[in-house]
Amino acid sequence: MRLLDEAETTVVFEKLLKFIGNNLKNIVESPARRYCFRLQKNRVYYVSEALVKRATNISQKNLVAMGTCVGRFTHGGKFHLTVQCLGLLAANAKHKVWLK
Amino acid sequence: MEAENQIQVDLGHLLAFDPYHHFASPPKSREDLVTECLRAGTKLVQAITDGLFNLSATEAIEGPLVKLPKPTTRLPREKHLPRPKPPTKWEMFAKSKGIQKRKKNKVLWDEQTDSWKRSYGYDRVNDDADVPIIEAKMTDEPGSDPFAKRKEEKKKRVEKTEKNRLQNLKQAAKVGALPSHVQLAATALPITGTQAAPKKITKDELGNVAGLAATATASGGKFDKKVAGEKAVKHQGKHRKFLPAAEGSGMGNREKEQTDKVLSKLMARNSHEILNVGKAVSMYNVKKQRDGRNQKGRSSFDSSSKLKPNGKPMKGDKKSPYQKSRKGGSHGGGASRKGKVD
Repeated sequence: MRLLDEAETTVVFEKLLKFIGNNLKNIVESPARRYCFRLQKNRVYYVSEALVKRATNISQKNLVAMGTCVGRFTHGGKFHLTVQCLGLLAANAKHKVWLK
Repeated sequence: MEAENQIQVDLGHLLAFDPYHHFASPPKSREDLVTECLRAGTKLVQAITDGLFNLSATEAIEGPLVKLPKPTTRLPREKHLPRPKPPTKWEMFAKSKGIQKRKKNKVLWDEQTDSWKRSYGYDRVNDDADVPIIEAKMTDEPGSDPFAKRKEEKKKRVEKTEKNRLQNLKQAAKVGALPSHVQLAATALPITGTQAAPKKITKDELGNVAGLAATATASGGKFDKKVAGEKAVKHQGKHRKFLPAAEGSGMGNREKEQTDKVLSKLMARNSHEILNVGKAVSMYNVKKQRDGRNQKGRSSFDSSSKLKPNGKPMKGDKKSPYQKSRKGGSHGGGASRKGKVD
């Protein structure tokens, strides 16, 4: 598990921006600053800090996943969102439609 | 008369040459010379462009595409003519003995196997492997393997020829007549006595080697005294430094910095807002309040300025509500300036 470096964070944020827009601020700078993005293998996770601290005790080999998986990086460096992030996106989406 | 003043144009090299150009009078100053030269130059360039546009053009994506004809002027050689090779050892020997070169047949008759075989290589004449029995001679010691002996002798012969080949190359290298594909191999040899071709070490290579040497100590070169002018070793090998996964207390400063930086850049780039309405409204309200206060009591205004050490009125007073609506960075600032409401 490691932090994303600058290039990777830009890619991820850009992808999220397309769906969320300015609400990205709410995700990244959550009020209590409690959540953060971490990379494990090539998957990006949105984890709470407390969980991150505890996850550092697990070796890289054994750590499978933590928090919600927002997406993954492909071999070519592109970032694809996964379905697990829908909950996160739905809460902060730019345009919402309510169906009766 | 017109034929005399023709400019020679070689479109293959995009070259124009005026053989009849001369200065009517020596130019008086540098500027005159420059203008004269420019005038003559423009004539030449015009001649080239005329020629170019006269060629038949095909349509490409970027525009008309023209295939230049073959150049007519011959340019001088870039590199020197190949130097004559010095004769090899065998050649010298053959010359001294008067041995002539004879044409070899493709296949030869092999007595061993009673078949036609090549003179060398895969299916060759007198191959050691084809000999099934070697009769023992009186001079042979008991216990010696004649097949192994043959192998060793062949090995020695091969080594000898290889040595001679390298010697010939060295001789050629002395004169500078090495064939180009051999250059590297010959310079890698330990040439004793002769002047070895100096191997050029680039600055980067030197830096890498110096870095390797510097870090080849027990503590990785951290506590060694640096020589004056020696720079720190840059990241050697595949070294990517990441921020720590979990910093001391909560989300540490560095990660916050990084994410904030990235976020602000992206937001500024993608913000289509020209005006931050909320901020503008609040600034306007504040200004209105301040103006109201100033009108009511002049004394408050004076005292506020006296409180300041320079006696000047406070800085934030005279700002328009639209000026401050900037969202991170120059992008937002530029956009806001564009959208100023009058």
